[in-house]
Parts: sequence; C-alpha cells; structure tokens
Amino acid sequence: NETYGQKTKITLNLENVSIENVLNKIESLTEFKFMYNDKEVDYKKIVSVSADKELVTTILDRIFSEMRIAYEVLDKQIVLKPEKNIPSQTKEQEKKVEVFQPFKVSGTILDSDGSPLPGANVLEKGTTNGTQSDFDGNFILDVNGPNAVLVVSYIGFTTTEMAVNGQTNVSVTLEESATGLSEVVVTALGIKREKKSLGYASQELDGEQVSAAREPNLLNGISGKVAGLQITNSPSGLGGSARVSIRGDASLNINGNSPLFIVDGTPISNEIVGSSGSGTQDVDYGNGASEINPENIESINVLKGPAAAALYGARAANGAIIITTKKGNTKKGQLGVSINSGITMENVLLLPDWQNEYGQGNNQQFAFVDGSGSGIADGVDESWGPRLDTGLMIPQFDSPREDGTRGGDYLVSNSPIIPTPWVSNPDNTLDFFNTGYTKTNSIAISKSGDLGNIRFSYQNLDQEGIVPNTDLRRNTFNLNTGLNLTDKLTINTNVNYIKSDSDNRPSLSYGTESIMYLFIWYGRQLNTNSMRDYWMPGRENLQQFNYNYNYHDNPFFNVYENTNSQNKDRVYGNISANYTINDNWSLMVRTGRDFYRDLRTKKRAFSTQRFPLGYYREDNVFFEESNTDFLLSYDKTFNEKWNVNISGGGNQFRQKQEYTQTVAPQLINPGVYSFNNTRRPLEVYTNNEQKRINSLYGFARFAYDNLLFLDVTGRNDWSSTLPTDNNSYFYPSVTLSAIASDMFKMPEFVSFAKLRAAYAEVGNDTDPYKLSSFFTNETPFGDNPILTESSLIPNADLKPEITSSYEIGADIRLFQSRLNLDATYYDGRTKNQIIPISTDISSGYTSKLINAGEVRNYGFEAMLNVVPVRTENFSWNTMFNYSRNRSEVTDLGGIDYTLTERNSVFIQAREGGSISAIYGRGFQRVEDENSEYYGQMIVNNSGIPIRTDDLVYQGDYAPDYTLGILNSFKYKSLDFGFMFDIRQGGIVVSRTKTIGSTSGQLKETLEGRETGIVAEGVLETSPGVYTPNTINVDVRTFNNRYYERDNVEAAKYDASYTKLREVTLGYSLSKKIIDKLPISKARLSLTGRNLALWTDNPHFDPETVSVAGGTLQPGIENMSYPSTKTYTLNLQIDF
Amino acid sequence: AFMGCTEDFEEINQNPNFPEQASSELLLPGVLRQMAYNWGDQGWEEGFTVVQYGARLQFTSGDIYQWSPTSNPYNDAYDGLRDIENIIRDTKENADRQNYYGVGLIVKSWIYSYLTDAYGDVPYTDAVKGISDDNITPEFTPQQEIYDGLLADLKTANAVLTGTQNISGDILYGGDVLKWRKFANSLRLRLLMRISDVDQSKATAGMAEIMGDPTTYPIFESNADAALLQWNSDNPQPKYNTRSGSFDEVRLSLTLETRLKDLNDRRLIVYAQPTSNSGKGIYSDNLDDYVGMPNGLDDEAALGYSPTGNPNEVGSNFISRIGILLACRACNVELASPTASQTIIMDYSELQFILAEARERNFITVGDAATYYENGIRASFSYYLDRIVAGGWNEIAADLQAFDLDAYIAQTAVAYTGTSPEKLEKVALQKWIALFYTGFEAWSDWRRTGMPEVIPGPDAVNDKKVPVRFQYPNSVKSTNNANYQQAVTRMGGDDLNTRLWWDVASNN
Repeated sequence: NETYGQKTKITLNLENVSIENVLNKIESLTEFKFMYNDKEVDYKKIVSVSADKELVTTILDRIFSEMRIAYEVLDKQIVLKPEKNIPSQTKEQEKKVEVFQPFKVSGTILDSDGSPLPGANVLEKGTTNGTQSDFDGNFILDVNGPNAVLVVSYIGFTTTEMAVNGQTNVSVTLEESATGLSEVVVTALGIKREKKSLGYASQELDGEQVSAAREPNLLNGISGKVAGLQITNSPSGLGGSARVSIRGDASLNINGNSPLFIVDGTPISNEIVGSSGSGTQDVDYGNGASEINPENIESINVLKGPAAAALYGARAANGAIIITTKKGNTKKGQLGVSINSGITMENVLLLPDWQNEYGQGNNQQFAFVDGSGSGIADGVDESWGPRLDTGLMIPQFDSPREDGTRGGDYLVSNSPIIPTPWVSNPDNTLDFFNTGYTKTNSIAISKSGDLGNIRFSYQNLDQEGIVPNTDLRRNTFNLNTGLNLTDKLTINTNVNYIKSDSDNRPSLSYGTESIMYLFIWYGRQLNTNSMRDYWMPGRENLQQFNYNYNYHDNPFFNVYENTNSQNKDRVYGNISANYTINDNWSLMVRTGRDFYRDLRTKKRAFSTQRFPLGYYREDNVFFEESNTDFLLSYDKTFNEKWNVNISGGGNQFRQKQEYTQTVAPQLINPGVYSFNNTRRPLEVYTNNEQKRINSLYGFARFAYDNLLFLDVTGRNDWSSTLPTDNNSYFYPSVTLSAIASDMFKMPEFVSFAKLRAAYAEVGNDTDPYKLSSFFTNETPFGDNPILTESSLIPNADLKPEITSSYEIGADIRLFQSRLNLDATYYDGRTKNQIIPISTDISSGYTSKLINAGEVRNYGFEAMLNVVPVRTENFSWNTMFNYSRNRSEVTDLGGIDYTLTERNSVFIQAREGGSISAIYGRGFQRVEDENSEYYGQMIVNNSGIPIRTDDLVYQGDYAPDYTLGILNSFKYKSLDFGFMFDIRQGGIVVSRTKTIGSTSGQLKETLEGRETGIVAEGVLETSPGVYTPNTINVDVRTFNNRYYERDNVEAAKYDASYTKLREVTLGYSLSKKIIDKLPISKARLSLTGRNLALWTDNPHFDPETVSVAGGTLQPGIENMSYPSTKTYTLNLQIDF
Repeated sequence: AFMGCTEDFEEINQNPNFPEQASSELLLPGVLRQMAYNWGDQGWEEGFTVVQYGARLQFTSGDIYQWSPTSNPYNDAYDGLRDIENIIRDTKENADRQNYYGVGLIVKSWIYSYLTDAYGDVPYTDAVKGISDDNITPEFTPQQEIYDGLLADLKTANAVLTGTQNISGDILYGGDVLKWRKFANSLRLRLLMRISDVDQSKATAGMAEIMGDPTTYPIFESNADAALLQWNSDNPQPKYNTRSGSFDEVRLSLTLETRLKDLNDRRLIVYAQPTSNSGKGIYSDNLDDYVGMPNGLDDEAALGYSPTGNPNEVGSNFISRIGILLACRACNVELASPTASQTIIMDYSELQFILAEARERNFITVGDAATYYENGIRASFSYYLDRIVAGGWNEIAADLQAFDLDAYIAQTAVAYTGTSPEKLEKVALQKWIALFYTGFEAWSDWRRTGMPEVIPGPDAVNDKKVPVRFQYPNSVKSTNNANYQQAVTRMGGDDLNTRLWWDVASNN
C-alpha cells in the first residue's frame, strides 16, 4: 500500500536556496502540499539539494537530517514539525552521538568586511556533524565536547578551521579566496555562469573596486583595473567623456571601437553627441555610460573578445561591459539602509611650463594704448616683449589712467595711462583656476521578503569644476525590484532616472572660446586678477574689458558670460519575467529602454570676439533605444556527468535619435537669451535618424563532469541600414574550456589550471541613410533658399562587416592560489569594413562609402595576482594587469584611409601599417646613408629647417603596452591600497607645443632670446652636398618657422607615462564596535587620484584625447585643460 | 513570420531630413555665394599681397612666399561644381530650362578658369563624375584643353541663353538673361586675352568673332552689367566677420601707396585708411596720412618697421589699414558696412582695359584703344564712388566727387600717349589699380604680362621669385596620386615656380 510519496520520484538541482524554495519546488513538481508552522520550522535556512529521480521522502530525509525536523506524510500532505528528541540521524551517527559529550556552540560567520555570511557550512572536524549559518550568519551546533574543531567553508572563501576551546560563542571571519574557483559571473544576455566554464577571457570588478575611485565618471574609476581595457579621458574635466576600448582599436571607424554597455541585461547608450558647429567650439557633454552611479553597482564583468559577446551582436564586437546592479538583499522583513557621503577636492595637476622672463610684445618692446595695435606692439599677443622684473615701467592694460579708469578701458577714456612696473606673474594661469569640489551624498534603502526584494537608491552629486563658474549636478534615482509572483514566475524591474544639469561646461579645442587657447597666447606679464572685473565701466553687458582687443576674450568674461549649459533627463531600465516551465524548461522575456532628452544652450555676450553682437543657441537632443528579447532554455543533466543547456531567443533593437539645433546668430538686446531677441533670421538644423535590427539566436552548452565545457552560439541579424539584398547576416561562435587540473594529475603546488579556446564571428551594419544621395539645405541668401548635394557618395550595395577572431588562454593558480595567472592571446580580423574613404573632391565628392579592407587585431593580455602575505590580521595582495595590442592593416585595396584629421595630424590606415598610425609633415632630412650628415635636418637659406611636403609616418597613438599595478594591504580594520597606471610607448601630437612655441610662452622659447638661434642641421649647398648650418635666426622667427602649424614632427611627444592613479586608506569599524551600535557597517576612506605623473613632456598630461563634434580623437592634444589630482573623503554607514 | 518584421526596413531607412532631388534654382545661389566668397577671401589671403596691394604686418609667411600646398580654391571650386554639374545635367536636354543650362555653363567656366589659373592642369574632362560615372580618380586635363572647353562652353552659353523664361535663384543678375550673355562674352574675352601669348591666332579669332557681331555677342556696356555679388546683411562681405586682428594683419602696401601717390590717384582714400597715428579716423584729405609698408618682410621686421625710420614710430599705429569699404565690423563697429563692398567677379573697367590692350596689340580692329583705356579709368572711379556712397561715408564720397578726373587722365603719367609698349604699360598699371581686390585677376595679369613690376620683399624665400601658381592640395596626393603624378610630370613639377601653359612671357 504505497502512498503517493513513496512512489513519486523527482529530479532536483538547487544550490544555496532556502528550505522554503525547496518545498515550493517540490510542490510545483508533485501534488504534495507542505504544512508547517513558520515559527517552528526554519524555512529560510539555506540548503543545497541535488537529486536525480529520487523519492521525495529520500530527498526530505537528506534535507532534514541535520535540522531536527520530523515530517509526516498524510497522502498528499506533508506536515513538518520540530523533533522532540535528539536530531534524527543515521544509526551509525546515533551511536556516535551517544558517546559524545554534547557541547553547544553558537557563533557568527563573517566576511572580512564584517558582513554576515548566510549559508556558510560549519562542520565539526572529522565528523559529518554540521550545519549552515542562517541569514544573519549565525549558527548553532552541538559538537563533541569543548575541544572540538570547527571547519567553516563557503564558496569563494578560504576554508578556515577554528578550535572551540570551550567557548560557547565564537566568531569566525572568512577571507575571500583568491582562487574564486566557483565564482559565478554574469555573461551575455544576463546569464550567470560559473567562471571556470567559460572559454573566453573576462575580468570582474566588484562594486567596491568600482566605487572606490569616487570618480563622477564611472569609467575613469575602472581605468587600470582590467587588463586590456583602455580608458582615455577627454581634456575637459567635469564629468567629461572617456574613450573606452578593449584590446585596442579594430575598426576603421574611429568612433566604432567602444564596447557595448549592458545594465542588468539591457544595452544602454554610450553615445557622445557632439555639439560644435555654427561658429561655436566643442563642448564635452559626457558619454552615456559615465552617468551610471558607481554605488549602485554590484559587479562589472568585462567580456573582452567577440566570443564573449557574440550573442550581443555587432555592437559587442569590441567587447562588452556587463554591469549588474545591487538588489535588495536583507534579512527577511528587515529594512536595510545604507548611507554614503563623500567630498572631493580637485586641483590642477599639470599646467604648461611657461617662461617668466619676457612679457608680451615684439622685439623686446611693448606699450599699451588700446590693445589693438595703436600702442607699441600692443596688438601683438605673443610674449617676445621686454624683459620682466628689471624695474621697467610700462603702460599696461591694468595700469591706471589719470582719470582713474584702467588702461584697457580705452573705449570710455582716453586719459593718459600711468606706467606701472613690468613684472612677471609666474602663476597667472594657475591663478585663474579654482579648487574644484565634488559632493556626493547617497542613500539606499532595501528590503527583501517572501514576495521578493526591493532596493531604492538616490544619489546627489554636486560638482564645481576647477574652471570658474563651471559645474555639474546629477541626481540619480534607482529602483530595483524582484517579485516572486508564484514559485515559477518572477518579475524583475530596474528603473533609473538621472537628472543632470550644468550651468556651464567649459568650451574646448582651439579658438577664443577655450580658456587654454586664451592662455597659450596670454602675455606672461599679465596679472590675472586684473581681469576679474571684466566689463568696461558704463558699458556693462556691451563691452568686455581685456588686455588685447585684436584676438582675444577676457577669460573671466568667457566663463561667466559665455556659458554652455546642459539640462538632461534620462531614464533607462528594463523589466523582465522569468518563468520556470518545468525542471528543464524555462522562459525569459525582457524589454528594456534607454531614453534621454538633453537641452543644451550656448550664450554669447556682446563684444565676444566671435560674436560681437551676441549669440544664442539651443541644441535639443532626443535619444531612444529599446531592446526587447526573449530566451527559451532547456537544461538537463544526464548520467550525473553530462549537462546540456540549449537556448534560443530573439531580440528587436530600435534606435531613434532626434537632434534640433536653433541659432539666433545675433541678438537685439544684450543679455537677453531668447529666440525672441534675435536680430537675424533663426537658423535651424534638424537631423532625425532611426534604425532597427531584428535578431534570432541560439546557443548550446555542453558540460562534461564539470571539467570540460563546450559552448556553441549562432546569431542572425537583419538590419534596416543595409540594402534589402544584403541585410541578413549570420555569425557563429564556439568556445571550449578544460579544467586541466581536474583532468590530469598535477604537482601539489598547482591549485587549479584551466585552458580555454574560442572562435567567433560578429557581423556589423552601418548608420542609417547611407544608401542614397540627398540634398542638404544651407542658410538662404536673401529670399533664395539654398540646397546642395551631399558630398558623400552613397553605396546601394553595402555588405555587412564581419569580424572573426580566435583566442586561447589559460588560468593557472599555484601555491594555494597565492600566485594566479590568467593570460590570453587573441587574434582577430575585421573584413569588409564599411568606411567612407576620402576621395579627391575633383570627383565632386569628398568621400565614398565602401566595404573595404582587412584589419588584423592581435595581442596578449595577462593578469597576475600575487598574495605575498596572508595572515589572520594582515594581508597583502598585488595585482598586475598587462596588455599589448597590435592593429595591423593587412589589406586596404591600395587606399590610404584617413580615419580622422585634426590640425594637419592624420590618423591614417595604410596597408602594412597600423590603424592607429599618425602621419603628418615633418622635417626634411639628409637621406643619403653615405653622407656624414645622414639623418640631419636640412635648413633653408634663411637657416630654418625645411618641412616635407608629404605626409610622413610620425608614430602610433596606441601604446606598446599598458600595465596596471594594484597593491592592497589589510591590517585588522585598516586597509590601504595604491595603484600605478603605466602606459609605455605611443606618441601624442601637441597643439600646446606648437602654439606655445610660436607665441613665446613656453619655457624652451627662452633659448636664444637675446642671441638668436642657429638651428641644428645642414645646408644643401648643391644637390647632395651639405655643410653644417651657421645661419643665426632671431628667436621669434625661428620659433614661428620651426613650429609651423602643420608640422607634426615638431610637436610630437612620447605619450608614455606612469601615474600614481589611486591611493586609498580605509578604516572599517570592527565587528565588536558595530555590535554595540545600531549599524551593521561603517567605513571611512580617504582616496587620492592622479596624485603624481611621470612623463616626458613638461606641458600637459599625455593621457588626453581631443574632442571634435562627438569624436574623441586619441593621439592629438588640442589645448587640453590641465588634468587634476583629487582627494576624496568618504563615509559609508549601513544600518 | 519573423522575416515579415523586416518588410518596413526600406521605409525606416528613408532619410526623413533631406530631399533626394533639388531643382536648379535651389542649387544656383549656393554656388554663386560660395565661389564669390572664396574669390574674395582667397584673393585677400594670397592675391592681395602677391601683387602688392597689401603687405603683411604680422604672420607674414604668405608675403614672403612661404606658401604651403593650397587646398582652396580647389576644394570650394569642385564643391560648387558638383551642384553646377547637377544643373547642367538636369537642364541640358530640357528645352524649357535652357536658361539654367546656359547660366550653368557660364558659372562652370568661371570656376574652372579660376581653378586652372591657380594650379594649372586640373581634373576637367573626367571631373565631378563620382556618382554619375563612378569615377573617383579623375585624370587631370591639360590646361590648354581646359581653356578649349571653357571657351566653347561660353560660346554655347551665349547661344542657348536666348529664351525668355525667368531664371530664379540668380543672385548675380536677378534673372536678367541679357546680362548673363554679356558676362559670358566678356569672360570669354578675358580668357582669350589670357591665352593670347601662347595661342595668338585662337585668341584673335575669338575676339574678332565677339567684337565683330555685338548683336550676337553682347558684352558689358557699363558698370551696371558687371558681374558683382551684392552681399546682404545675413551674408555680409567676406571680410566683415573677421576678427580685427586678422583684418589688421594686412596693411596698405608701400607699392600701392607709391604708385597711387605718384599719380595723385584719389582711389587711395578708398583703398586705405589714414594711419591711427594721424588721428584722422577713416578719412583724411591729406594723402600724407596714408602710409604703406614694404612687402616681404619677415614677422620680426614687419612688426618693427618704421615708415619714417624713427625707431619710436614703429608698428601698426603708423601704417595704414585697408580702406573702410572692406573693413570688418569689429574693426570699426560704427562705420564698417556688411554690404557696401561687393565681390567683383568681373567688371566693366576690366573689360575696357582688356579691349584697350587688344586694340593696342591689334588683336581686334574695332574701337579705339585710348577710348577703351579712358573708359576703364572713369568706370573704376565711378564704381568706387558708388560703393562709398552706398556705405554712407560722406567725407570720402565728397572728396572723390570733387576730384578732377579729367586732369588726372590728362597728366603725362596717365594720358594715353607714348610708344605702344609705353601705352601697354599704362594700360597694365591702370588695370592693376582698378583690379584692387578682384580675386586673383591682377596676379594672373602680372603672370601673363609681367606688368606692373612685382619686386619680392627683402625676406622673400622661394629663391626670391614671385610664385606663379599654387601647389596642389596635399589631399590629392593621397586620394588621386597616379593622376596627380601624371599631371606634375606633364607640367614639370608641383612647384610655386612652375609656369602655367599660358604663362610664356619672359617675366619673373
């Protein structure tokens, strides 16, 4: 008479779940219903169950064997109750129990931060007697006497033994294990995988590592922490953009090398929408990914190669950065509150090395009359003037006039200027900058319970830049919920609202709007403080006051009156539902969206050099992207050894961008910034774009005995941007991972060894509207509207791009995982790249869109983790992240393709060269190898080195290698860490150098001031005959001719640097103190960023890109703002 | 079913922002504006100093012939020609649109003549066929063949421009077909004169054809017919929006000052302003207040130049700015004008000087050289008086009005007397004065005739030679190198001193 229970066999595979979950699962698979009193049964206890076609009763026996729970099966009802007697155990154990002297030990298991570890295993050494910690990390275990030894273990932590020594209450702290052998990471499509099963390279950062930097831009905070991930800052400070690339550049589209950013399974925009044109200069409004609040990040997983990201399609061809946000995770029903407050001080790290011996003027002469040329060289904005600090008295712009006005007030007074001392002001540029402050305050509230979990966070960021009157405010609201609607259906939502606004962001690049432009021409005697009162008296709002009226704006006028504001609302998030159909089948559907509206205004006051009658402009940017996807999965384990998982899914991607720019080119009344106040017809430009990609994909995973893993994926995309005939493309990937240390016998010191290999292809499409020609409109001429044909030759036969790559790697851990090496070699080829090649404009067109070329991108990356010291109280951990990448143009159909050009610096791909190669004009040199002057510069009859006409290879912007070195130390409650970021090789071409030399501002222009300069080089007296140059050239002419603006060679520097990127000192309150307070965690930290820089050039930080219309151009320095060092004091308290 | 989702992809990929078609009247004004602007702006940058109307006070590299490969007019010309070829393609076979076809041919001819006179051989026969013929590497056409094409096109334009249909978008002549024909034939005379030293028979035949049949081949009859772009306040004259510093880098040249003062030529008060030091503002009745500086000084020397030799009187205060007619707004907020200065593509006085020379050299038999010559001088004075009145600069206008032009013309140095070479020299000098700020025309004339003389400044490089052409833009070497090399070989180098096909006179 078998009951239902005695004949019902089920398969279960649950890890670290609550008893309640197990029971729910059994209920869902059978007709059983469980009954219990939740005060009597610890239904939250975490257990793991593995059963393959076993009787329910057998499973229950196993679960409850250690729990003092008895059960009674009444047909289809199972009633649970606490056992009256000693724990129900096997007979063998019962015997042992009889001889034991039971000793009850209670205790708490904590991680190194003092946080409780739920579900840790506690075992009495030498027995099978054990239990697990509950949600608060607490456990109670009856052991065999006061001298028993406890063995405490937990996934991801080093197993620790502890002698009871008669204590009835113990506290066990587990150290995180460096091996992370069982680490679970989030991979493509949000799928969690055991790291050891992955056949490709990835690297994780936990939230702590990310937020430790306290950088307003998330990306800057992870620079140097991941091998192969290169972050380059824009020169703008203040939440500016960062250029991200993984494993170097592979795309001939210089903007096409960004990895894809995924938050909780849904892509978000990392767009940079440019904002130049219409006579104004560039402003950096930040890149999309920079806005994510680091404190909401649970972990980041960087998937480095196409194999890792094949399932995400084209945009992940350069890798993917998978961000998982924090979820509500508290004791049942209890409210978790976390408060974080930080303040950052920011100061200039490096300004150009100015000369301070000669002031403004020409030929050692200067006298101010009107700053427009009426005085002696007072229209000249260069520092070739009289020697400073020699007691000279000279009329200057800030010298008083006899009527009390200033020299520079020449439009309101012509009273004589009283000469004042001609003295140096070495810090006149530094004086302009402020100390920047960033205040961040945030609170997170979370709760979890039967129904699910919820976490809400709010962060306020308030930043004032080092440039006066520049700021950024950001309010971030985040809501994460997980709802267990039934035991089969869970719904997760993640919603973020980010409000960013700025009254003024600094203008960039070369021109009067940029502060650094003003400074590169800024007479070295100028007293910056004299500029602060920047209106001419009585002509407020109409006429600025300045030292030079020929070319320049007063820097304070510039930042206080000519502002670039921003007001951005962004919402991104997703909602997903997971449905467990049965033990093998599950279905996920998800839809995510990222959209923002960004209103930018540019105000320009009357008397601005570029806009004498003022100017007002609004840019309205709207962006929307949605991704809707589903995934159906089948998972089954055969014969205990084989596990198969097969999934199929699809995605629909829609992207829409709307951009409207409206310009009032001149204003009627000063100071009124409204389109109603326009003096000329408004100029409006609109660009709307949309794009769609449909995708179907599938993948299969095969695991054998937890030591051999094979993954196969395939994806087909249909893109709206490609011709109908060519708009469908398929690409596969295959990866293999083998745990060699489990397959073969290895020496004792090998803790773990894994080998992996992967091959992947990824297809790519292009931007919308590239298939046919069109006519754009221009400003009308009177009543005549004007159209002009676009100068791009479209291509109606475009094919998708295909990137194919392979990688092999190894993960080896030695000496109890105290020496860990993870290394990867990769080699990829991108074919049929869709590029606009430059054409001779005599064809009528400047570029033609073609499929061309093959770029090979290969390299090596390694992470080495060493734990030199690990004791109970002190540990020292060192990590090296190394990467070396080469991007080689293997085929380009004979074309020299210019990826980008700025200031005559060409980033050009040529066959056999690199795609990061810089070409430009340089100096002519003696080419005859037999000449004794071989390699020397050739000078002309005037003694000036001659420039080449042709573009000559100058170097490569990509580094030979990058190396991040992280050290962290922990002593009891104190932790200390520092990190070096090293970049070796590569060049940067500097406009600061070119202009600062011609303007006589830089220190090196002191050479030959009084004596003139004889250039090193030779004269060609007759063809092939050379004689050393002896011609003396005056210093100004020499500098002007040597540093011609299109001479790239004269302005290039080695871009290598070593930076002390981050230093952190932290103190966390110890458990003992915490227990006495109503808090669960408290940490105070002091972080310094970019504290020191070692590099070849004395003028600027080589870690810079120039910004042009939404493109971050590496290798080119273009009046970059000084980089900054920051100090942050941060306090975190969790309740 | 899933594939069905891609059905609307073509629609999604339709550009919603811009049309795929544009009619001729929408394309024409943009090209005229761009090329007139370029002609003025580029003329200022190089043409203005190379023939020594202006001299550089600062950033003197252009003035000492340290020229880099020059991307303009190359870029702007072909950018405009793209739309001109669209006009020609759309209207050539359309009987109702022949006026646009004719205007298209004239504008094309002017642009190409500007282009080829700057560089020499340029892509012509195969040019602007990037989409239509899928040709992105056009061959360079020898200059002689380009001239053949331009002269033929101008003749065709004159022939097809007979319809009565209105021309819209015509910002040059407001749709006046007859004036376009006059421009076509006058321009043809300019080009015929240009090639007269290298192919005299062709030049004289062409000139005879035009001058022999004024009904079929009307030419400019007064200043009212001239090809001038009248700017408006939204599209101000090319120098109007420059920074004052940039405008002031170019100053009155000593050459222009001397030549005008030698003739007591009052156009000096239009072409230049009194020095700041004189305190006279934009006008002085005393020509001594107008002071120029030498061309071809290096930066140091230029900034340190003293017209009086007194070391305390150096710099911009003591050297005249270019006249208020061209001045930028920031240079003189109250008095500068966005519209008084027109961009002169070709004017009546130039044509009269061409005819004077042609008659003097017996290329034509119609008319009287002295009359043409005198017409040219009077037209130039009258034109500048009009512009000064338009700008509202009354003192200057009054001075010009009071000027005794008859006496001016009667003086020996001006009067059409002397030997034929002397007369030709006078024509050249007067033409040079009249061509002030007319793009590159004075430079082209100097290259052809060597008159009036250009003496390189003391710090000139380029072997102390006046450049006779531009170097091709650097971009051509990377985008069309094989054809570039072929052209360079044919021309004998891509050098500032490489002579153009028509430049055969023994000057320079």
